[in-house]
Amino acid sequence: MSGQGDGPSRRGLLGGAVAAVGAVALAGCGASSGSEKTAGQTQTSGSNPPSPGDVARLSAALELERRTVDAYVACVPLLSKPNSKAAALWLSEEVQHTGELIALIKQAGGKAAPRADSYEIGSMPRNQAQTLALLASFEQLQVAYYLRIMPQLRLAKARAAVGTILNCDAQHLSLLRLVQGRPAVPSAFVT
Amino acid sequence: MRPAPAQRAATRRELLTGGAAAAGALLAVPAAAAAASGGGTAASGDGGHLTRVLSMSVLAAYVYQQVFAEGVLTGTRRQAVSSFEAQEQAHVAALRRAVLSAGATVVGPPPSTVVANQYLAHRQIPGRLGQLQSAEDALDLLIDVERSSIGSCYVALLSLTGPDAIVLVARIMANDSQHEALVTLQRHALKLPAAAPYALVSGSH
Repeated sequence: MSGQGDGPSRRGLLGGAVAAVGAVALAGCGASSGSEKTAGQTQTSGSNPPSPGDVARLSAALELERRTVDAYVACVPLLSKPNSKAAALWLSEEVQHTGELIALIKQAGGKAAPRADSYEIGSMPRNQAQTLALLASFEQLQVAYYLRIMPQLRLAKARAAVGTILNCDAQHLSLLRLVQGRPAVPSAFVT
Repeated sequence: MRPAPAQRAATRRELLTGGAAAAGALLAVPAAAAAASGGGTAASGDGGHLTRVLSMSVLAAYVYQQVFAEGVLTGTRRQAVSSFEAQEQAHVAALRRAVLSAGATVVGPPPSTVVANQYLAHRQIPGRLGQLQSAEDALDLLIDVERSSIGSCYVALLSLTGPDAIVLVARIMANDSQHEALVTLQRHALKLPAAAPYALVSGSH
């Protein structure tokens, strides 16, 4: 399902400086889902009626992914050769995630917002350790956000698709921990 | 090649109902026991889906246990994945609680490596316990098992309705994805890019 949004995302990536936006991540987190769900349960199949709640949550996820893409763009040159090679691949996977999310937003009846000129990634890291820590923090944010929205997503296909992104980001997180010298998989349950 | 949906269903039915040898491994727990367990947050329709995830999870835990027991995985490679067996057991424990709370059937571990190998075959996993010749064989089997575990969770997420069940399965799926990456890293001589080569990770299903 990826691909449709990759073009714009890649163009945005190339043209995007690293700077400011921030707080976007939480934009859709607090969106009420009460009107969309029944008895706290989600739909599992069938056609895809418009789902404003899903659009809001997926749009917030898209902004998170775009910010992470900017973080990788800024950080890859700061990494050692073996780490930068891996991070460049993970960057391309994050770009693919933006394309996937754009497609999911469309399926949920929405339209993805244009990519911002730049995204806030905080202070530029000054060494290898800080660079790895910064990337890990963005991956952790994404993982936590996906776990939070998955039970709120009304469309089961969107939930499962988000799960595939979650899995990839969880892998990135564990590998970043590994090169940081931390336990790569510290818990049986990703949080 | 991925099996068609109908084939997948048959495979899981076979796994759940088993052959004669597997019959003893199935522990039917009545719904009353579930209520007594303190559960009750799972949606009523989720039990079967959770049982299918559990069936793969108990197989994964069993495979880790047996692979380590066979001793073909040693040194730093063994050390790198040594915690994964306990994590798989933690998945089993959590899923059992969820299955019980949904009033569904709890699945036990395979009674023998022979039966476990039948389960692996049903899931189209080529590796076989008791026949591992090298560390690479062991790692390949673990990678395939992790992918199948991820796939079982992915399929369940298409059908689960209870928020607690969705989060539980998602957290387990993400953890199994991490296992897959770390085991793959051991398989590919610690080349970092080889450990997470796909942007969308849905396992084998």
